[in-house]
Amino acid sequence: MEYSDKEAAEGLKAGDTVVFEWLFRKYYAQLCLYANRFLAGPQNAEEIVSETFAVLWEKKDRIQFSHSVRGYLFGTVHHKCINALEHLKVRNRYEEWLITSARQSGQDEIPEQDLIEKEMTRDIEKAIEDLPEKCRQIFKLSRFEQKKYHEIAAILQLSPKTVETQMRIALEKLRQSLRHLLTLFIW
Amino acid sequence: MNETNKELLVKYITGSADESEKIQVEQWLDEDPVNRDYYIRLEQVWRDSLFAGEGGKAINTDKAFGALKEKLGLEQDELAKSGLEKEEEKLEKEAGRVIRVRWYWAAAVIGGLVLAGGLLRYGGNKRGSGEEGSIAYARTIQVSRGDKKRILLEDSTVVWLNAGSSLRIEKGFGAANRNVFLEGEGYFIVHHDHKKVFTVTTRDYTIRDIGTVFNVRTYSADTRFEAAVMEGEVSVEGRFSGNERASQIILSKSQVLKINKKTALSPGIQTAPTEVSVNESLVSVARAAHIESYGGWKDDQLSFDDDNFRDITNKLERRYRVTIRIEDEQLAKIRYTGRFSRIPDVEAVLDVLKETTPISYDRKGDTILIRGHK
Repeated sequence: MEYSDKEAAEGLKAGDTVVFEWLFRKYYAQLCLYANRFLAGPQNAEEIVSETFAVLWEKKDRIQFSHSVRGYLFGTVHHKCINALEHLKVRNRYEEWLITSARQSGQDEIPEQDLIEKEMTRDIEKAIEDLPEKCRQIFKLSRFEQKKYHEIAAILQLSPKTVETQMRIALEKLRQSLRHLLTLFIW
Repeated sequence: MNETNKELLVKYITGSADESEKIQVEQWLDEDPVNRDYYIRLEQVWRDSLFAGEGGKAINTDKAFGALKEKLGLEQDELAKSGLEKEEEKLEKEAGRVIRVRWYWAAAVIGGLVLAGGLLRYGGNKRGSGEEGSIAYARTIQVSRGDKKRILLEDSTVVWLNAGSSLRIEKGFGAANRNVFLEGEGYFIVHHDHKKVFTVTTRDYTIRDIGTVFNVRTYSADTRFEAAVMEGEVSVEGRFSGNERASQIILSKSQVLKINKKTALSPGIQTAPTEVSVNESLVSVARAAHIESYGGWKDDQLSFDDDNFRDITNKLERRYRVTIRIEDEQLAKIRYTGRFSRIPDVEAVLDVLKETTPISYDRKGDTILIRGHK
């Protein structure tokens, strides 16, 4: 069952929970991926996206969708993320640039077609699995177990220099194989 | 960009850098926007990888919806009551009945929906994308009036887009092709790749390039198509001056191609297309002394190069987000050449124009009326 944007907007206004659930399942994951680009941790991203849906439901009879429901969702998430960023006490360069670009430009670019969440996470998983063995082990320790380089070196009995090099190789390879997934930040 | 810098950068991104390394990286980031772009790419990849399945914090839509449902009280019985109460207050009985019927249907469907969702998750999935490493879908980037944007494409080409422009990046951009469609104005710094020609299609002409820097102005509302080459060489193809067959003009460094479409002010009056060769007045290729000024808009410069009055006012409308009405048809004859640096408001520009052209203007809110004066 697919809803056109008009049907989704009308269904929402009428309090149709089936439409609401459809919208949630369709956009939740990609909105989380989108928010995660702004915020450091997946939990924050998921919180913000859930909040956005909660507000959508609570205000459903009052919202005027100027573009589309999808546009509203992305726009709201974007707005909340920038707010969250601005309240962060410590920010790195990336986060500073996100805020600056958000202030300078209007709505971020939204892809014409919906990203398909299952493809995206599968692509990321595959890209990681395709890394050379040592490289992959090192990457996983860093990414999923939050180990610092010297800890990884100790665990795997490698020199710190090797860890540094392998991490660089890992990110470069991932950047290559996931090129097609990078929606652009526009400055 | 050497390996050591990249390694430090990765250390910085993954949180393993110490204070002195952080400072080093930040200095390096400040040195060159190319470094910054690279950093942003890697940072994005790092962030995205967090969501990889096993081992990562996979996104669990089911779980998330379950939690939200609870929070909003979307459990069947509760909603049936509260939803109905609200609806019956607001709507006619008729509508209320519709909602009620819908809800019962919905209750049955939700069960089915969850099951279907589960099936989708485990079933096979066709990839929508084309070749490995290319974009799976087309994207359009739009810039509103009063704004400008800088974009980094998948192939490392940098594009600046001027106010009121849009750039459509075709499906398969990256590995399969390097095709974009431009409406408006763009300044392109094309990444060198002799295996894949970078193609900018516009409404009337197509520009092909391998690795070059050029500016294209092709607003539908303007009377002129303009292409200026800062570095390298491009070819512009299309039907020039009403010729039946398409032909090609090669532009090299410091050359600018101007194709004037109409010479009259109002769209109704047009000069009939005549057969002119490339070197005559409607189509001209010239060497420009200050070629960079054609891309000056990305540094907030406003530049007019023998532009006719319609194009001039179009430019002002897009840049300053105003509406300009030209009251006097005679003004169509005016042409102007000049450069302005970072002028924050349109009146200042008009005041300068007034000094050498016979115009006067009146501003009411966001609308400006321009009249000729003796």
